[in-house]
Amino acid sequence: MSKEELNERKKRVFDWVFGQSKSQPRTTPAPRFIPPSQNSGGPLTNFTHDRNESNQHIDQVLWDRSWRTVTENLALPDYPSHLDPIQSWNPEMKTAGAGFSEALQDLLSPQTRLPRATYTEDIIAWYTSQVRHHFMRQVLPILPELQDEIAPQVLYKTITILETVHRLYLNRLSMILEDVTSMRHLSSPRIMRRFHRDLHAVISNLVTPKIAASLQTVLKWNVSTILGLPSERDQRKRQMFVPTAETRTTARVRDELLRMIESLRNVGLAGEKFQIMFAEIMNDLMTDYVLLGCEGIWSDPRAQKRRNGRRTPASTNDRQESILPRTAQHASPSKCVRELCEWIENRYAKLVVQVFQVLDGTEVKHAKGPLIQVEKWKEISIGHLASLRTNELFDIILKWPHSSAALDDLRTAITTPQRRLQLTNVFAQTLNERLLHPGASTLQILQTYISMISSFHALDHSKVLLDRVAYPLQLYLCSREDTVRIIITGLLSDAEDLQRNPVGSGGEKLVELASLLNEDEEQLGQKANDEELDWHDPDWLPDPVDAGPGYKRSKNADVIGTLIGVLGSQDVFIKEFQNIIAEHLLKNDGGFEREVKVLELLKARFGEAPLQSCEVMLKDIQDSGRVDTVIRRNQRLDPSDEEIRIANASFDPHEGVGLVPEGVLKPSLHAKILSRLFWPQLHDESYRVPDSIRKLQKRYEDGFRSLKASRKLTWLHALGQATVVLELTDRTITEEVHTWQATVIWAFQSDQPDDAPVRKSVQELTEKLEMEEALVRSALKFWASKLVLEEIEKDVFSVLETLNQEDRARSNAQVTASTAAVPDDTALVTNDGITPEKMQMYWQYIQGMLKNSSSQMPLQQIAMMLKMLIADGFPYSNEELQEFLGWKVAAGELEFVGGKYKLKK
Amino acid sequence: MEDTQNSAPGTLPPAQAAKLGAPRRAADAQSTTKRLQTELMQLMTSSAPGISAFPSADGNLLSWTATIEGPDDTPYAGLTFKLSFAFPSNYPYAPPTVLFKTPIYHPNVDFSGRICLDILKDKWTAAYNTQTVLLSLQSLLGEPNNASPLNGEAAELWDKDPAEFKRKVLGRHRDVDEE
Repeated sequence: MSKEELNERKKRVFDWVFGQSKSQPRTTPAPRFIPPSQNSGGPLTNFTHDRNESNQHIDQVLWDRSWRTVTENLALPDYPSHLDPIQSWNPEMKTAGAGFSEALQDLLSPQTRLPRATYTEDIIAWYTSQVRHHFMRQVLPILPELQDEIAPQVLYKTITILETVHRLYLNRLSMILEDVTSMRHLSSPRIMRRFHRDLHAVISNLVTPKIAASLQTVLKWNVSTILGLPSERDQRKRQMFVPTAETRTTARVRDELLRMIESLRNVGLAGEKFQIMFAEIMNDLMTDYVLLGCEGIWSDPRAQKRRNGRRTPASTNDRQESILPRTAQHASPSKCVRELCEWIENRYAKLVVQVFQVLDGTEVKHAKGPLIQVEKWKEISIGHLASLRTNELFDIILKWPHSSAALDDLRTAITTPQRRLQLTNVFAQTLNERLLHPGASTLQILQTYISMISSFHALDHSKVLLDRVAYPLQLYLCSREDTVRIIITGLLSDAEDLQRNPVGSGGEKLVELASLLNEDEEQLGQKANDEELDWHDPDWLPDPVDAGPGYKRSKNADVIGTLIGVLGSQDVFIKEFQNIIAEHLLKNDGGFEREVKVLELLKARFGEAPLQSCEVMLKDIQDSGRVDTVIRRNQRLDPSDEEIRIANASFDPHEGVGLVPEGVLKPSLHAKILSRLFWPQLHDESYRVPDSIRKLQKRYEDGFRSLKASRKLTWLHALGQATVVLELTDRTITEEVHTWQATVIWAFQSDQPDDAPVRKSVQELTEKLEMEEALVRSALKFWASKLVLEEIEKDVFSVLETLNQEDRARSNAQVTASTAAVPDDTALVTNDGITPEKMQMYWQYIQGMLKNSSSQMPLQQIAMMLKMLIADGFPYSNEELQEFLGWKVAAGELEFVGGKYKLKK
Repeated sequence: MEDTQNSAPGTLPPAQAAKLGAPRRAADAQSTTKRLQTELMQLMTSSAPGISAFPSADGNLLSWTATIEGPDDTPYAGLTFKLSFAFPSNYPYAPPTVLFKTPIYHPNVDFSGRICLDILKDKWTAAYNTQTVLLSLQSLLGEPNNASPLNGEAAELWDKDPAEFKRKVLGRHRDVDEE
């Protein structure tokens, strides 16, 4: 040991005993940044007391002195006020001065070095609190305020400042820690950790709220760029969103973001709050992506293309399998799900894992942990997709069958009973709002129902979901009177037009049913009932957990069966079917191939027995044809060759289309013979038929009696069709009319052509024809509308032998109108035409409607309103209403402009 | 066992029916609908001159449009006024909300068409109906209640200066165009 060293040591001992030597400048202990009153906490204030009270405790004095030395050295400089926040601040970095180390030793282990010092304090705790004070008073005020700055700049400035003060704080701390390493009872890493924790707690609590908004903006912008999402302001890009691949820009932004997060972590801003914020942003962006990428994309045009592309189908499948989360593995993935999962795996998860690594400050290997989380994220994203699709479901169903991909999405996602319940709840509500109100026509509801049956079947073979949503719909359909009729006319309609193209579903009939019925033909062979016993079915699944007690499985969608089920029982359906088919059979001639076919299909469905009467009806009609021929031949009712020749010569084949020559010279009669018991209740109004017809009927009866001895013919005058040729002075009119209409016009027949036009009153006609007045009036109205009769005074009609120019124009217009819309008279069982008594009331309704609701309305809407608003219902068809409105137009009370009716002012 | 489980088509298990809650709500709505249908039928069959009303074109039975023709011998003679009726779902136990759609200058009607009429407020009973309301409004046109005016100027002019009142009525009246 050299002499100098010895001296030095002695001096130090002296100093310890007698205080600081004069050679060392005695600075005030007050650090510059703290007001003296708060100086360094407890020990120093006690120090003055102690010195006054007793000098005995030298240890204490020594300790106090060391304390002062150390605290002076550790003092933190003020933030220079002249510095612009943008400039970086370079505070002086100190190294331990002379005496510091010794003094520090005292403070760190007072028990061994100064055992009798009573007031000691932890220097590290003191330093920590100093740092806290310094931070609050000096740093916090200068952190840039957000209001007038651009978000990223605020953030970067904040980070710079925080980094600087961090450096400063750590510099001072390291001065302590240098010595700590030599101590046994303290470990510097632990102190470091604690200090960091304390400092970060302060920073993250005080700073995070200040920069939260800008941090969020920056994070969101960066993350959405990295994930390939357009920003919220960019509406145009949002509307035509195409997921983009990663580019150099995204890589750059990603690096930037990671660097930023790293600095945030270093300065202590990457705490819990940051993590929550990040999680929220990631969640928002996932929702955003699902919304942008999948909303309204219900079909899968690329699936086809991809299959034809370079990749072989097998490899595509393999890739899909691996990309999906395990829970969704069983379903065939749609384009949306596939893209979503790819996106999650390649971009979303990648980013999150990288951020996590930065946050933890460690290199996490792609071990099991993240993989499980990636699975989880995929599930979450599919959940988002499911809720989107659930909200869209009603529109998806309207688009069916062009929306099968969307249904696939949904099927992938609805794996839990909760989601299924959510789906049905949301859908039932939408259904109520959008369909089950008087504004929707029954046809529309039925079409939607058909789509629903098929879509829900695609969604869930078990029918459980459908049953849950369909019940209110079924109730509602039962309250509509025309449901059954629409279903049956749908079944009987042509699914293909004349060129054998499928008829679109926009028409007025439910043609979907006809095509479905045709398709069903093949499937009905194998009975679906045996399904439960089919042990070889590889796709067998147990009954769904949320199935009700009455649950019965069925494999095919069975649209028609379900629809008929709506009506409560098949009886209602069959009865209505009988009525409608009766109408068809009576009104038309021909082979009735369609009716036969529908009947056969229905028989396959319901069995023979319930449809027996329909069978008999059909047979009646077919037999009638044969019997008719036989009777006419026997009774010589057919025209002779001579008559046919004259008839052919007298009329131009180009004009009277559909007129058979036999009726030209004298009345001719064909009959359909019905087995009364098997037909629905038919019109039995009776009246006096024209004499010539009466004679024909008599001969026909005789012929029938000779053919079938035990049976007797009863004529139903009011049914049937007549072809009437009227020869008026200036024109000839040929009309296909009802028999009773023909009878009324026959009453106007005049044998002497020179006479003045025949005049008849309603009263006369009723008596002469023994016909009901309503029927007479209806027929008169009909002929008046055809411009054959005219009402010259109240209830008195006469024949319009000649037409003036104006009338002629109207007549022509009517001819074109009637060819455009062939009236389809469906009222076989109910009254025919709108009767005058009821007419007055309906007219009031229509007037009220056009006066108040809307000044002009199309026919459909008027009909719908009438049906809805009249408590007893409006029993007439649209065609009858059209006819009625036509009269009102002719009478000058209504106008018909652009497809809409309006009141004439 | 099998048979009891497979209930007939169209009849759902009662538990499920109750869960959907449709029948109960339907019953409430049904009575209001029935009442309004009956009122409409009454209006259509026994129409009083100068008034008419009908549900709106969208088929919502709870919202009607009505027309009143101004009575002769009043400043409103020859004018027609459109009104809107909005029936509450508990009708007839609460009055409909009635507004003038056609601008009208009248002591008891304000400029946005709101009407001050006791039977539409606290004096309403279920015995009133659309027709009685319309008739009351029609008579209100001829005999305004100047004691509680919504339009003070009109109330004043009605008594003081009938000619000016008529001029204002004609000035304010405009045929509302629908569609």
